[in-house]
Amino acid sequence: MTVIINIDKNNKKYYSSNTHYSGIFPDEELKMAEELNKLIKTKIDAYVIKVGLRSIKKDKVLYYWEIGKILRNIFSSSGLVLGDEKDLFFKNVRLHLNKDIFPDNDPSRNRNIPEQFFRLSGFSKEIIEKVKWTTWSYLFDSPVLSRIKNFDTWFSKNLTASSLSFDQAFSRLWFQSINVLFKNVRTDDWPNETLLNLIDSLFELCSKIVELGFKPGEKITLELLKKILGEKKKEFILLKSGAITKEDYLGNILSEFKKRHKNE
Amino acid sequence: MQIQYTTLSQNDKQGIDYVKKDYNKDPAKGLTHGLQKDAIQNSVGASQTKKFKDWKITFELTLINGKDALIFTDEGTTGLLGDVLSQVEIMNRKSENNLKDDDHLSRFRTVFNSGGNDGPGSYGRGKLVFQACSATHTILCDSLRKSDNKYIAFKRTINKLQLQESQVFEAKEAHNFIKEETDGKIKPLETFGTRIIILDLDLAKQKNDLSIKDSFLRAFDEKHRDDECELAFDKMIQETWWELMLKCGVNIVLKHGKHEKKVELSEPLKKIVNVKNNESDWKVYDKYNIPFEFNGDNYIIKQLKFVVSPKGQTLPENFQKITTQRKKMKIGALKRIIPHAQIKKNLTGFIIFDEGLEELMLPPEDMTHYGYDHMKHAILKKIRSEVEVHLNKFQKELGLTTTGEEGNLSRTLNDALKDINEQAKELGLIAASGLGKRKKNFKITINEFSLPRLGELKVEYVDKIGVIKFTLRNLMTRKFNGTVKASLSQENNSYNQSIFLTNCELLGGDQIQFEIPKFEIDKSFHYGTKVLMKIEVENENFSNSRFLWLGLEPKKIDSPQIIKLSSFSIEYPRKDSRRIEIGESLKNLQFSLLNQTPFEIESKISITIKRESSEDRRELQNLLVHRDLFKSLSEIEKEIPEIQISSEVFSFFENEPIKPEKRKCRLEITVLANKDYPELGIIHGQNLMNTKKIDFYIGVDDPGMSIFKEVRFILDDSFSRKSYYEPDSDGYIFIFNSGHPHFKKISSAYAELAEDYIKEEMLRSAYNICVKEEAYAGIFDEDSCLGETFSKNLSQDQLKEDMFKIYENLIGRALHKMYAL
Repeated sequence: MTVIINIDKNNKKYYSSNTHYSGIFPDEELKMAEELNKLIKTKIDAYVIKVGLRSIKKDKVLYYWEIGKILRNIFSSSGLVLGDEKDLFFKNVRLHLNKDIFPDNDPSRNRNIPEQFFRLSGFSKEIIEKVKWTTWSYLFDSPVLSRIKNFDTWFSKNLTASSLSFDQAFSRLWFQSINVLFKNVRTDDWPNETLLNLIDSLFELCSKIVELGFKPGEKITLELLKKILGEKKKEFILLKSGAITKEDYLGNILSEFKKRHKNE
Repeated sequence: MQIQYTTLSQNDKQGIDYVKKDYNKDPAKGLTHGLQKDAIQNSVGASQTKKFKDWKITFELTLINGKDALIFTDEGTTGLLGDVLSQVEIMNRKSENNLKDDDHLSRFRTVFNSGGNDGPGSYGRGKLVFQACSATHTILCDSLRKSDNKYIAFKRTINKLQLQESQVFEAKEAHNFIKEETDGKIKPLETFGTRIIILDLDLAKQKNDLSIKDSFLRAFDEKHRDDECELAFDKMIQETWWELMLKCGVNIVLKHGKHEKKVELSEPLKKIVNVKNNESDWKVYDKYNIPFEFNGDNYIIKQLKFVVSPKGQTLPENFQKITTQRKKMKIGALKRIIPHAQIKKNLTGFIIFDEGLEELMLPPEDMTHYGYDHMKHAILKKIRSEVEVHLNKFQKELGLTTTGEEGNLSRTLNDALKDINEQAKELGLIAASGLGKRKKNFKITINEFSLPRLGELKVEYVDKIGVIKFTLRNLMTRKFNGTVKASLSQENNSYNQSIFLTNCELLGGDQIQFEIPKFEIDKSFHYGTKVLMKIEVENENFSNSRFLWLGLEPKKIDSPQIIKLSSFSIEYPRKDSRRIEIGESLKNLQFSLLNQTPFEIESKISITIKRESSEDRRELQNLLVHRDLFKSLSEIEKEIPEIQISSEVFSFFENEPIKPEKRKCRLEITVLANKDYPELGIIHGQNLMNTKKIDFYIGVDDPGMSIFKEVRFILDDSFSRKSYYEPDSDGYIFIFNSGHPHFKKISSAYAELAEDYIKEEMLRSAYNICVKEEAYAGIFDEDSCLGETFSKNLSQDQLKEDMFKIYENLIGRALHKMYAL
């Protein structure tokens, strides 16, 4: 299939395809590319008009999720784009996301906004509303988390089961824990399950700290946990290899945390 | 006194070896390929009719005198015409310039006597190619001549390193000669034409890894494909002679025993030369009779055809070029024609000239007639420009618009800059100071260092330290003869303890391993202070060392410093720039990695190339992944002799703007832990070394290494300047006015001179900058027309007219240097 990937200021369209050279596209496919482009534009514009600019800016997650749904629908049901042309499809979508309303792609972080909307729409409405857009965006940006195959399912399950509020303070504590232990570490060779178990352990660790009444947004909580995790890297490695259990690891860190928090 | 002259002896065998070498190196395609090309070329020139009526050539592989022989016989040709002369008579005619063009026989019988392109025997090297194909350098030749119905035969061989030729036998004698020499196997010719018999066919492997015989037999082997047309004899013929086959329907036959095969065009060539636009998704640009003007004369490009195969259907590499034809024979590729990256692997094409242009294109051909030495000849530049104009039109038709005329001008500007940058030092221009480091004479690698206690760097007086194994490598070409020693020393302590001493003799490029036996640290060293263990090559100022922590614990080493890059070197294609053109290579990447800990660590070393621009940091190529076990305090060496910047991976850069920041790449060396080390706090995948980053730039000189940081063009200038420069934050930008009428005139009338015009403009700006910066070196130290050096002239107050004189003299001198090089 052929997809429009750019439109310049003179309204000149640039096409791309995984199967044809640029410019050597069959007429029928060019027609379909126009149709796809028109469909994306119409649907997004109609939605923006329907809900209004102000609403979108006010409740980003919900509306980005809705747009993700629209994109998902076009991608899977229009018959105008093939499964392996997702990247081209996102380029086409990008042309119709008004930069005054929507965030922009950030190549330095591999941040692809249409792709993030698309991914967001894979979560249920209940789940997405529990987390702010900045946190979602951060989650989607993370190379460690992006490597985990069934991360989205795990995350939904955890958020449903947990009574805690996955607010900015909590997510900061959790992301910081991940950063301390995964900084300068390439996880390419790790089994998916190992990586997910460790991320799960750190999530549980942060949840327990909150459950114990410590405030995740406080400087002392952040700094103390960072310090202890760094010092107890050996235990983390033992947890990874299965030499100690998750309970032992969490118990060890939490008791140290409580002890030192008291003394601070 | 009468002086007597004798002919100096010459080593003809070596001459033949040179021919072999030439045919086995690029752009030639090997001796087997050269054999068919020259054999058919000779016969083509001897055709009785221009339309090749009844013309035929037969190649036959057979046995003569129990040995393999290759015979090629042409028919419908004139035979070897001309007087039958002795060698002395030939030499006399040659020296008097009386050897006529149609003296084919005499021309064939002399060596390196190139005489145009029309007749048999007109080729200098061709004659030696046939002898080069014989293990004993022996060929027989017979010919039945149409002009006088005379049958002639003779033999050529080599004796005591010198070429020898029998007399030319005629009529009955020739009949007997041929029969006797071939043990009755070969009968005299009965139709007009010439036959060459390569006796004792050389069975050595050629450039394509097959012997001549194997290549010939491959033509009868239908099982193996040869889309590149470089293995089978019939494919080589097709690739070289497709135009002759297509237009004249010539008869070329291969014979082997009972097998006989007529050479006919097959895929992919058949498709390429016959396909029409839009046929099965192929795209074709086919133009005929294009007027072409050169040096005021008018010529015709008879045909220019580009063919693009459907996406995903890559053409064989050998066809991914635009090639020239001469006398219906393929010559070779026009270099530096860069198609759009999307069609780079799918584009092929050819260009056919009229006779006048063919003659103009002949001198730049390389000696083997497989291409061109370089593209600096004016005619090649002009042809290239013409091809580019048409290629751009075609690409525009295909919707590939990035390389339009503007793209061409940008590239010309960049090419001009690259040429000047390469001579910047000599021209005294401000540019790079050189990337090359002084080469070391030795390399000492510590392969093993046993500590008394595993995992502990601290040592005691009573400890037995060692053994220490190390390798000494002589990096020089000359032999080393000297002393290698190891000793212990300590800061603020004059005591020195010798632990190893040996005399060593090592040939250039060789290496040797030594073992320092176990030793104890002498009590004369202060306890609680580190001791330096140093291995050195005496009087050569070269060493390698480690600290011994006597009675003290060293500071904990953080994970990115566990492994240290202890030596590193790499060679860029050019000394003063990190620019690399596609097709070039980074060479001799060598580095040593040192484990600074007392532990054994299993690691994964990887080398990758990434794109390094702000919007794209993709990994482009993974060059090496190696798992190694680092012993305590020991080193591991790695080497990659060549890293090719292949078009396969890097061609997309050609569509990127010619700016360093857009064309920056980075080679990265990383060392990761390959398993968990809980005691050390090291997790699998953790970086053990700060990533080593080596930057380079595709097709553009890097900032700071170029006389201009950037080159740009404008379409007009309100001051009517031809060019000028502008200072930028960390360099200068050269701005070229492509709309200046002078440039327009030059580039339209003499497109091939456009680059030279730009170079002169660049020089003017570059010297202006030198004067502005008062940076006088190189050419500035030479005397000017006013006496004294340019630098002195410029440092003194000068009359305005003298300043102009100095400036003009400077430019003139620089241009002289550039063009006289």
